[in-house]
Amino acid sequence: MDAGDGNGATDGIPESERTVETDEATLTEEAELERTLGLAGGLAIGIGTMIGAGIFVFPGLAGAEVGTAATVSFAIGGVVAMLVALPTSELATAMPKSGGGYYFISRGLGTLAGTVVGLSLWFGLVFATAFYLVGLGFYALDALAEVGIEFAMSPGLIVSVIAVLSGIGFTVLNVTGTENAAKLQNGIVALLLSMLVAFLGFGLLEVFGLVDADTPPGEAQDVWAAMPIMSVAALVFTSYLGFAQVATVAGEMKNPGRNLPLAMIGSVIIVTVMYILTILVATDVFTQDQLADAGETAMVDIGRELLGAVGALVIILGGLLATMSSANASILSTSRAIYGVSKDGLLPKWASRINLKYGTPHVALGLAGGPVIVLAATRQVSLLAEVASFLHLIMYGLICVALLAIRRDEPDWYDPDFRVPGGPVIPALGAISSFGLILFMDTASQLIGLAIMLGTAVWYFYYARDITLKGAL
Amino acid sequence: MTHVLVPVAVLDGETISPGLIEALGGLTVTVLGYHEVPEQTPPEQAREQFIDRATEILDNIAAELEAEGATAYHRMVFTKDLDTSVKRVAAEIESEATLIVRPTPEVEEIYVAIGSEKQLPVIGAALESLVTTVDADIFLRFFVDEERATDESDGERILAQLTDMLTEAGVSPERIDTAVQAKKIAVGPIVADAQGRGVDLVVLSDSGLSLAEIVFGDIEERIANQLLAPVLVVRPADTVEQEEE
Repeated sequence: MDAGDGNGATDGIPESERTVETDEATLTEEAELERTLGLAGGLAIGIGTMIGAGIFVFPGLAGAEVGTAATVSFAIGGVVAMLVALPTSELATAMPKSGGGYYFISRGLGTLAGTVVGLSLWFGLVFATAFYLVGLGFYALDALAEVGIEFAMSPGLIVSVIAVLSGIGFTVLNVTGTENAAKLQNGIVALLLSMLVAFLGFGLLEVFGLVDADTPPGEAQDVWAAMPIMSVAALVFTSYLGFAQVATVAGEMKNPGRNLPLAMIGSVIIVTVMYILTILVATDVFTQDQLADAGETAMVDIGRELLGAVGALVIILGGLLATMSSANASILSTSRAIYGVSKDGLLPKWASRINLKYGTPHVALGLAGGPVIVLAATRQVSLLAEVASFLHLIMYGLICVALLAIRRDEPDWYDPDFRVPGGPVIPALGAISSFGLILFMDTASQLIGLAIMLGTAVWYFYYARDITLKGAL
Repeated sequence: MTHVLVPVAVLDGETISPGLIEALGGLTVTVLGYHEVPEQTPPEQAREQFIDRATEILDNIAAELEAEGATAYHRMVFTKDLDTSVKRVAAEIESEATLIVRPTPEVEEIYVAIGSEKQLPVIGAALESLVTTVDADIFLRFFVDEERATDESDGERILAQLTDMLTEAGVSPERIDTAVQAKKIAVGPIVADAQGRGVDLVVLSDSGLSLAEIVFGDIEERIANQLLAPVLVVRPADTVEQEEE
């Protein structure tokens, strides 16, 4: 199984180098790159990135809008994610390299699309990270209140301060920390899942009246109308950003032909089910007004309602862990996104330099963490989430288009281990639904997203128009 | 000729010291340059930046080995898990031994720990290759193990066979010191016996050690660290054959 390698360009033109991909390593002419991630590691990346926002921040916001109908919004998000996860899996098994969506699009659709997606993804991840950090700030505030620490400052300001400090902390940690954080991440994801299963199990018993935890009567008033449901779907889609991150570590995954599709599709299924059940429980326990009042940390009050102080503590701890794991995973992904474009010469080479002391890409991590800190200070949860979704959805849609384009040309090197069944139907639906979801967002989010894309296109004409990436493997 | 795999953290300044290079002169050597990449870094990114430097260092090491008469190959791996990489490469090249490097100016004392009869052929072969280029005092130790139903007489017989192999290979008998240890082979007894002898190289087989101890970086590393000496870990004949099937 031979495949070319889109190798680094010193003068802006990628040079080709023969490489051999095996299930255990990538063999290039002078070096071997070990594949060390298994299926569990892949699932942990997917689930760990996704689960932070969806379960712990959105139930209050989404339930306040449409009540139990928010389950449909989350289901729609899950379907869109699945429609994109399948084509992404096919492309990732054909090109099991670090780079993910950017790599597929630049190789399938050319440099302009590649530049727009590659750089937009950088900003998309920055917005997503900021969103997770603000979520972390709200949970930390609740945690402080729970242990009786109160500040004279306004709560909003405290959230900003916590978000900014955590942003700085994670960036520094990633530059200097050489401990094996992957194992820690796996542990956190396992802990989170078991906490949620226990919590949701109890919550569902209560929903179906099998146990009675004395929750107030007055379930959320449901809004079963298409437009509000879709606009909530567009808002909460941020909960699904993360499955494609699995593709960015494709180069490090053992037996990628099997593990990549399983990790991506598996993590989408697991989180979709979790989200829907959470909303079901949340909207059963509280009315819309109560959810709206509780806001970002409504889950804490739901936990308290169901299981008393213990329930609240479990949710606070879970929320802290989940938002931290999402934020940390996203900072890592951002640095990888920057590496991907800089390697191809779309950004200056120095952006992906590694320091030998820690072996970490400090410049890229700084380019990730810097803007995150600024955005996190704004506390605009919905705006940050939607812009992040906007920029990711552009990439997801284009991944589907890239798959259609590559399949149409069917170049010699194209030999995926996993093929999406049903011909062009799934990728076509994936593209339409990804772009379609954007239409239901707030105008402000759409404008910011468009402005960023426009900026990246300008960058292409200024800096990168001489680079040819289409088919350059 | 024994084929030995030598992992070296080339980018962290680790190297094979002159004494070891000389000792390896009679062997086939694959130097496995490695760089452990933190999780934040795609291995590809590290390769791009460091491969030229790594290749230059590896070329030099290989040239030094060949100057001593060894057949030398080198490879470079960027990995997040050294254990996985060493196992994969060892299986690919079908090496019979792995060397944990530690600084050694000159190999003058070799300490050999043997725990069963089936280790005899591979350990013997490795020693025969070693003594073609080094002139060293050799301590042969047999560790008795009740589970393997070995006793002192087995030990003496096996040590005698090993001594014969070495004298035939040209080692003078008075440089060979043999003893049977009434303990099971493990880190503690080996270190206790070898300490204070100024050992420059430890040779042992990874069979006969408990499963938990076989993991690379555990027992061999512990011995290497406690004795401040390189350790040559020879794979027993049966596992070499199994993996060739």
